[in-house]
Amino acid sequence: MNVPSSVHAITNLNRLPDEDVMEQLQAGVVEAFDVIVHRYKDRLHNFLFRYTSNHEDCEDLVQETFLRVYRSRHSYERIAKLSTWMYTIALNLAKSMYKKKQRMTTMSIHADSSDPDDRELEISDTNLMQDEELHLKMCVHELEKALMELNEDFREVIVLRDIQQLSYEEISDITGTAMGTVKSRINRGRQQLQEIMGNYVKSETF
Amino acid sequence: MRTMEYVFLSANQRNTYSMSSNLTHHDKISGDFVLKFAESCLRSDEIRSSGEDIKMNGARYDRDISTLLQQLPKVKACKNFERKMAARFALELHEEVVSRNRENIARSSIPG
Repeated sequence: MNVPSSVHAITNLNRLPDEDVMEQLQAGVVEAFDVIVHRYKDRLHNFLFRYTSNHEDCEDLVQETFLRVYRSRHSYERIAKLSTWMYTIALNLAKSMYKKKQRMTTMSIHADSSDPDDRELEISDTNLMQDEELHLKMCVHELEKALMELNEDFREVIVLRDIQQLSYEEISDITGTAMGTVKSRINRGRQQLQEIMGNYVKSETF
Repeated sequence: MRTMEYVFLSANQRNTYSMSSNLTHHDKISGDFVLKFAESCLRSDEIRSSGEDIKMNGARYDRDISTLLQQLPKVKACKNFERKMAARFALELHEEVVSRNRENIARSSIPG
């Protein structure tokens, strides 16, 4: 049986670290683009959804981010991690869209009628008791609303840190903000969320 | 992996709540509340007041903001995202070729 050469190419590319895959794309190996899409589609969706709170906007932004990555492939330099570079592109696109629309919608944890694809929502903790589940579901609902009430500068660092689990250094690179400012915004953002959430979470020393 | 649909009550459990005829008044109120919550029909004041109840009822519900943020459901790309992306990428490549051809033609048509 003949295996298409593109399958071989993708198999080989799959073994490479992100930055090497990007180098292949820069060298004209178009299959590298599929590998990048496969690796980053979920991460970018989660990040952009938590930032925009809208499935349609989020999907458009993810697609546009990947296309920008391709169009700007020659401007990428290995001194930065590919993930940092991609998050920067995604964040800039989201910000400019936000400015254009000047409005953000709140979302519900329940079935999202704006989502034509009926995505699955995954919960990481599988050992919850039923009453705790109820509480968690309500907390999640309130937290998603609270997140959208946050100032944009705070929301972006909170999402990058607490949801995407990036390092302070990466967040500093992505947002183009000094590390001290990033840490301070994260603390203040959490404090604001704490205040908004009030009844749902314990007081925390930030 | 669990989806949010399975988080709370199964359909059978919900039926148990609605079908039972031996519920006390308090149970009925709780049952109604649970059903409304499961169907996402709670009013905002009901959600708020239940939050206050939960707060009064014990520290075991306490979760800090950071932990809660980590437990937000992970939103993934839709199943056919890669196919849609491949289609847009094919268009992008096509446009790239067309634009390159146009440049080549323009270059070759310059006299001399």
